[in-house]
Amino acid sequence: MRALLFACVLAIPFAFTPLASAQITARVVMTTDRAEVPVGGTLRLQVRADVSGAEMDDVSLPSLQGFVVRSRQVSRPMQFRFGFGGQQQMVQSTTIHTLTLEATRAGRFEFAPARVTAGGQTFQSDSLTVVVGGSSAPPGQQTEPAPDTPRALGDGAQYDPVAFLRTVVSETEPYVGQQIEVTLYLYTRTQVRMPHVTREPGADGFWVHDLLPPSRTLEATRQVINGVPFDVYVIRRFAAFPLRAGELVISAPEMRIETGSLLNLFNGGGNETLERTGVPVTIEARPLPEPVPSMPLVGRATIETTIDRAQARTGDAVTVRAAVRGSGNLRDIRFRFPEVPGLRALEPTIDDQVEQPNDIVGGTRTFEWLVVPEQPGSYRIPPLVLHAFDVTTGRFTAVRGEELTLEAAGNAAPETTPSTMDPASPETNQTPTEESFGPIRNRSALSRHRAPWSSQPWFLALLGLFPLAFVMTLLVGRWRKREVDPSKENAKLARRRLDDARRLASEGEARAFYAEIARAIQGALEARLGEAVGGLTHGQLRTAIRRHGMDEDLTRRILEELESCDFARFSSAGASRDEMDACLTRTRSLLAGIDAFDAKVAA
Amino acid sequence: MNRPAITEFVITLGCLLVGGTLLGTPAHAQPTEEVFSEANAAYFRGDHRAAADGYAQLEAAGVADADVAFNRATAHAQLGEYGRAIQYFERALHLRPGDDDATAGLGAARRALARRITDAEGEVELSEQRGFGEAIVRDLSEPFLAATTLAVWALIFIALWVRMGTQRARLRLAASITAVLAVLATSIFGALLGAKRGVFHEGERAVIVEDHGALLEGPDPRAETRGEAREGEQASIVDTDGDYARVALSGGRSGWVLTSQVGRIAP
Repeated sequence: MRALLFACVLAIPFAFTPLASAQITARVVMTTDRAEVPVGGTLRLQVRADVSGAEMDDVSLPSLQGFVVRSRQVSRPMQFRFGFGGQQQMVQSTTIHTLTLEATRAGRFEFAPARVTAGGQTFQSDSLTVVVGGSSAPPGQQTEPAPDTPRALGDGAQYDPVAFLRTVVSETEPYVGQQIEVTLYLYTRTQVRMPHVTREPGADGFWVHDLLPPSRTLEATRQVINGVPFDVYVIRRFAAFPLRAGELVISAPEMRIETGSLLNLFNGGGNETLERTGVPVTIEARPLPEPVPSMPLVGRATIETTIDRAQARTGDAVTVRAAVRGSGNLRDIRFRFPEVPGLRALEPTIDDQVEQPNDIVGGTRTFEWLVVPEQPGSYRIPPLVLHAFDVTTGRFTAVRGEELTLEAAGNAAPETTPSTMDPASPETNQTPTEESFGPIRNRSALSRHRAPWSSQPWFLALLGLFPLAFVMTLLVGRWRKREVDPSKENAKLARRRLDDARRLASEGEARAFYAEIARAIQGALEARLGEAVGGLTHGQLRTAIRRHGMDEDLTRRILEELESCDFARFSSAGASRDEMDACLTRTRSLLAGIDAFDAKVAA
Repeated sequence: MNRPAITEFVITLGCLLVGGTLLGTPAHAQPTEEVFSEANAAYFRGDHRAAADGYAQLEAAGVADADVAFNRATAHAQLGEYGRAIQYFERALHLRPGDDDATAGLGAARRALARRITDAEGEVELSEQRGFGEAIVRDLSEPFLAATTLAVWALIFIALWVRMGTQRARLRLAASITAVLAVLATSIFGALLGAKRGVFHEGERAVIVEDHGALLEGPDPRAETRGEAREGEQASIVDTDGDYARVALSGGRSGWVLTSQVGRIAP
């Protein structure tokens, strides 16, 4: 009964199906996430169709001229069907088309309405207008976010899908005199052949110093902006020191970029020239905190002061040198020579050695004053003082050199003229010349005259010592050679060979062992008999031994041992360790017998 | 012996001892440092003559120092005595080869002398004649050359010893090559040492310090004049006789000059 009731309830909608199909409704909405976009920029286009009472047959998107479809996504978040088997009826469905579009050219583009066909009826959305162009954004404003690019204040770029310039400053609110770094990048997606900076980034109000070497190779790094990979070149990089407080502008650079490669010239084109303009970048230079001392340096420095001599004749010039080393705009440093009564300082010569370790500009600025003591006496030259401002602490620090002293003696040299000189006086031999002599030396070891050690007799003795020692060595060597008994030496040699044979036995080198044994026996025989036996056959050897009077038993044992050695060298016989040890024992006995044999007597 | 006689003997002996002590006191009892400071002070006062005399006093007392020679040369140059200046700049270089200041002073003195002669006579011909060996060893000190010669000389025999004592063919070859090279080096440095010590140079190196000095036939004022020696000329003292020295000059000229007219370079 309950089942019957449930079936009746389910059957009710079907009773109204023809009525439902007659009421097809649809809603089509087309939207974009932005109305304006620069060339190369992307936007998201969404077309949503909600259809009730019929099957959604087709969705027709508008023409997308001027845009490239970068991605497409279709989703159907809601579908309701009723019915059984082939009698299913669509009640409601939703379809969403999402497209990511990239603007390829500037202009005003109107998207025609999207159309949806359902149940033989056509429904459409409203039309849309999108403005594409580089002029839509105000100057200096980055119109396209660059999520993969390091961003900082004072970062200006005009996005372009092909190539654009970007100017970055390292600090937007520096102090006056503080170093900031300005970098001009070229972003490009094409192959760059020859980039030319047709207008440099202007730096009025700054003292600048290039941080890049004058000659270098352009090397690109890869950055992805909005999913688009760019090659990034560093075109310019310089240190800039604000010279005044207030708003200062790094003006927009311009570049002409020739793209493509040389091969394209032969392939019939493909190269083009791009003109790009950067964006001016503004910084706000802060004044140094009050009270500001005279001639401050923003940075760090040390002062080294020297004087070329501590004593001088009155009227003679001495040189006082002050070298300021450190970081910052050292060219901005000025010194006044301290006022010292009796000392007259001429205008200094200034030499700058600029260095830039790790892009921190600094170096050495050297001042040289010619100082003339006009009166005799002792002078103290006070230390030079420089006020350095540390941007990290925001404070000034006084940097001082060293106090110098100068002794001036004698009266100032009178202005003499050759006509007033006494020709008889030797002093008057002095001709006004351009040559300068001195200064003399204030210190001396006052060493006494000594003949150089190379002229001492022991030097010659030392020279003679080496050849004498060499000759002595030769003589001693010869004398020792004469003293040596050849037979003893040969006996030693035979013993050494026995030792070698023992080593070979322990290593299992049977063939080498027996060869060494044979050589030991032959060597001992040669030493005793006084003739070579190495090349004799055993028969000849027997004859030779008998000729020298060796007894038969020893002769037989020698020949047997030599034959055993020969046999063992060319076969596997006697290769065991025990056999080799026995051979060693026999050979020792043989050598003792040979040593004991007196060949001379027998002969 | 009576008492007055003893007293007289003691007094006489005391006088003799005191007198002897005083007489025996060396003339240069003043410390050399003091003399040097006074000479420097005189130079700073502008009294170059006193300064030169002070440095001369030091040299007479046995000081043979490059700094003293340099100061003396500078003082003479300030006096316009360029011949003396050249002599002492050369001495400074002899005592300390390669001294940059002395080299510069020597050049300046020569230029100043040339300019003075040019101004007076319209032309000048001053030549610095040095042998090849002397030119090479000019900036090398004698101890350095002697030590190097000794070292390479020793190396010859060390290499020979090594060659005799080893059976290794490569080591024997290396020792042989070393010995040959050491022989060559010994020859070169020995020759340089000889040049430095003036073995190849006849006489003692000197400089003419007075201009227009007469070159005489013999060591006598009555001797005939062969020519004249110019201030700053390089000379070699080959003989001396009394107040005269026989000098050899450039161009094969030679003759006797007063010793006061020529200055030795070596102390």
